Amino acid sequence: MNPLLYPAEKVASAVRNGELSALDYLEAVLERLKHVEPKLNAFITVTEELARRKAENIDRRVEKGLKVGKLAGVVVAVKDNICVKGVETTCGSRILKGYRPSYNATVVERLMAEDAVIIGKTNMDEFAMGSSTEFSAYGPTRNPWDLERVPGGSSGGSGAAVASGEATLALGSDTGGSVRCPAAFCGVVGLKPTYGLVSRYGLVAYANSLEQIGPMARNVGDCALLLSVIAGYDPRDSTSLKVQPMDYQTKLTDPPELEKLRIGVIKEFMGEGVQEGVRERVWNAVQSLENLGARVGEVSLKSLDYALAAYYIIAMSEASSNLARYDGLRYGFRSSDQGLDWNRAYAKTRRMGFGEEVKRRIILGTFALSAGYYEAYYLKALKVRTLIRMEFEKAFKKFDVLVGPSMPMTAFKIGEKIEDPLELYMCDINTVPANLVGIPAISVPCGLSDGLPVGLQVMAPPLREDLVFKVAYAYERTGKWMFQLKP
Amino acid sequence: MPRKSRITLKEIEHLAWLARVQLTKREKRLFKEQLSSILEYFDKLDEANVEELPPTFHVVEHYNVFREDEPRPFPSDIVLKNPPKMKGRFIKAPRIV
Amino acid sequence: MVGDGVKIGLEVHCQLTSLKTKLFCSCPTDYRGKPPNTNICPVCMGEPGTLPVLNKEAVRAAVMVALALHSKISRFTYFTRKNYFYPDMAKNFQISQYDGVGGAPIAKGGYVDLGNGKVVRIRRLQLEEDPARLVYEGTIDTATATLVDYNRHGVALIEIVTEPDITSPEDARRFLQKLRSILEHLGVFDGELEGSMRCDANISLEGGVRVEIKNISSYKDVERALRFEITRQSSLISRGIRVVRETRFWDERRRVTVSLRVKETEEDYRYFPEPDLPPVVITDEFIDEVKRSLPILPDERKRIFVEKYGVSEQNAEVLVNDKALADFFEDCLKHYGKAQELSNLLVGDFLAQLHSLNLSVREVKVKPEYIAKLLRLLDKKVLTGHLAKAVLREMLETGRDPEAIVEEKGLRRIGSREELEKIVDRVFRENRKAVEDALVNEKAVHFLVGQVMRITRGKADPNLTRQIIKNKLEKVRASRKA
Ligand SMILES: [Mg+2]
Ligand SMILES: [Zn+2]
Repeated sequence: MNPLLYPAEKVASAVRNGELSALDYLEAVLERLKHVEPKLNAFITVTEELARRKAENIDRRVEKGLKVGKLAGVVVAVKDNICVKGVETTCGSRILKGYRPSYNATVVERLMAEDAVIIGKTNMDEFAMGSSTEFSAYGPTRNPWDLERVPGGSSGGSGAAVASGEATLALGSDTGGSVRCPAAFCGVVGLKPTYGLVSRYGLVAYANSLEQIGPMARNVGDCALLLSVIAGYDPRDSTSLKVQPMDYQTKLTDPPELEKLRIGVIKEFMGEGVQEGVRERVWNAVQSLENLGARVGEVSLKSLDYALAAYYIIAMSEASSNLARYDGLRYGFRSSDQGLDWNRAYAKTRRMGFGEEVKRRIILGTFALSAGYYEAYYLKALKVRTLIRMEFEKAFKKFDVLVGPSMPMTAFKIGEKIEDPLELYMCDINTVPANLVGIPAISVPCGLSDGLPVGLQVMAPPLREDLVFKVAYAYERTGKWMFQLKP
Repeated sequence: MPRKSRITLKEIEHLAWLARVQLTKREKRLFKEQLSSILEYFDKLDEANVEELPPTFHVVEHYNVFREDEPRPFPSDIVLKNPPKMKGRFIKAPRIV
Repeated sequence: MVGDGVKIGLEVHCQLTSLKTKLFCSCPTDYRGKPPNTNICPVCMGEPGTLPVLNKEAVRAAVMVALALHSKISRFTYFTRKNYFYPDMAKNFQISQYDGVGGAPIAKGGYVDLGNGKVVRIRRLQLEEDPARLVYEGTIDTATATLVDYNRHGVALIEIVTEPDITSPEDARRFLQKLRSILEHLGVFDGELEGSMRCDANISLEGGVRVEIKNISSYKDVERALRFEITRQSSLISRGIRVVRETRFWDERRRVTVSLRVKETEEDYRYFPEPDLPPVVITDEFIDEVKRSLPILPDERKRIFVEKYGVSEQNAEVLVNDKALADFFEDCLKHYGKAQELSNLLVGDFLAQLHSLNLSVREVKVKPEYIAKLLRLLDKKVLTGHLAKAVLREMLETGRDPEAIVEEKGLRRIGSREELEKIVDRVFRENRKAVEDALVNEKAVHFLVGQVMRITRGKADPNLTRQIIKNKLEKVRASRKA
């Protein structure tokens, strides 16, 4: 078997045993990267030298019989909104051009501690605002399955990198579906963890109360492995949960058996507005799970009708405040401010530094928080959030997991939706609920529709990542879908 | 509280000022149309009967997360590699008035 | 001066200087005297991706302050983002607290008793981050660039907002002094540290519009700034010019307030609860625990000074308004039991001389025993009041023992009748005209006493001198009659 197709665990064990040199593996990945990257534009920065040094260091330690980590030699791509000390971190924005963080994100520290080899920073919609990776100051990323199409977003670079073999694993971030959407569109596995399970320290904030860093991989086992490495309490993030770290990989086959699980198909996710082929694939996947013994039923969550509006109001409001810090003083891009007072200098730097979608969301968020509108927008959205939470809690009394399509459609063409922001927002309709409620949600590939990947979304109550993995893994094991390297 | 679906050019300009983002004429016109239709979509929330519900500020219900008062100095020179304009160890900002 | 109808409200920002780290990051707070941008880290520099973590001790300190000001402590409080762009804010929002938007400040209500029959009500107390220090090349309105030092940025502040209950610049100053003393008694604040207490004031005259004054950096300046503002506004009014509602900046060097010509937009801070910080729940148990650990506070201390030691109300008020002075008083009291006399010296000559030497009580090098000795020298009439002043000044300048000073400089009182009579004779010989005046005008006696003092350089016992002069004048009168 081509080592490029090894699952992460196999890479790590082969490196650990001395069967595979970390450097050789890295070089193979780099060669692949050089071949496909010109077509894909999945990376903003490739940290080739840093990666080589790390790989060599691992090999040396293996030779000396020293201990190496769980991810020894595994090549990981990191979304460009996650800080790596000394490595340019742009968030896909011009305004952060040249910014080199003076610290490592907690997840990056954990990757390094387990001897992962970080290969670079992946492309994304500017500040994670988008669902197609078209809104990047560094050009769009292309879908490995069809170069004319978007890879999904905002973690499109990470999705494309994993799908195309430019990395074994990747980190994305998911504020309203930004891990699950590219996972679905690129035919890989992506998880948005429970809010608070993975430290946000070092994740450049878009909408603090919604987002989590999430693992992306070619299969469920790898995804679980990566989560095991990055999850866990971090005193630097006050919203981090004090939970014991878990080995999610070994949980995949633990009891309860699938026969004991009750699976609820969310009615609202399967109605009109969902592409026919997508609905079919998802029904088939549900059927497979039923065949494995799971008890399947249908559940309606009426409040989901409000989820998208509530999500965007909350996200934009928080974003308008989070993005205020980009003023050109302490880091990143600064326009010339000759003759300008600070107000005008800031406004100019921010005009030149931010792209159109970011400006749109900043303006809307500013509006939603401003005097006289706070109650009607932000506060109301937070109340709707309570309503949706209550409905999910009720649904989870009847079902262990809830399922539906991750995306209502397959990857669309580049430029197809870019003119109409609202239409683009609508793409997130199935993914935002998990963020509003803070629950884990995975997207696992469940076949093709017209030659493009479809993602099955599985959601579970807070901290039941083990359940979403179990269901996704059980489906994966039916063999109805096998990872394919593209392009 | 009344919602508003239409947003005027003047309001866009005021919001842009509050957010310190200069907008071009084209952007202002474009945003006026786009934001109006987005706000119209947000009106959907009017149908939700949530007046009695408490807002969810944090999905995770924890509180009193503290740090001990123990100093940990950070090497400031690393931080000072980033500012585009400095004067000595000061970071240079534009004039105030 | 126009003084009626003045309404002043203060927004005081005090650094919680007892904390070793900033409010939301682990940077040390000992930035004073360090090069710019030394005590900084990714968090307080607002680097992308960083998150705040609340300093535990800041909450305790704030609860202590709230208890000391008789405020009602919120059981449930959020931190709130106050969004506004300014170069002294690394994130362009300040993590603060706000009464509204679903949050509550750490405490509301309460009062400070000024000790002069006036009470200033407190509106609210809140914890927030200190902005960075801005340095202007030139003055704020002429500078071509602004230099930013983030050393101070993120230090824990407690903001104390009063109701507009203050009616004069003197009372504003008194309020700040009393507040400082309370905070120093609590041990959470050191007013001696440069820039540790700053305030904004709003002032209106006779129901006129409110003018805000920003950047007042000491309790001495609050009086100056408000006086300036009252004079400015009343002179506008007297010339029939309307006072405009605006924010002015106190230029402490030029001692004037200047209009910043800030664009007249309604302030819109877009407050919302800080998503990165879970709420703070303050339990009754915690409050009780803090209450039990509260040290003695100025008002209680004053009561003790008056009731137990027998110090006059007035003196006691002055003493407790400066913690260092009250402490010094108690230290001296161990060596000298006459509390009222001791307090007279301390609130009188002692403070006056410190003022003229531009020293604070804490800078005083004089041992309490020496103050006691000085008072005993007075009691034993080795020193006159006049001499005592000179000895005290020498003590304050050098920290030396008063007895040694008396010995070395021969500053003893001249109490011998013979010696003084000789001097009085000389004064009578040399000031014939004055003697003639004194024979008919009681007030002219003063001059003769003064002459004796001049010759003895203040060492003459004033009572004895006066007596001798009067006797001598009597004799002259008698001889003329005869
Ligand atoms: Mg304040
Ligand atoms: Zn810091």
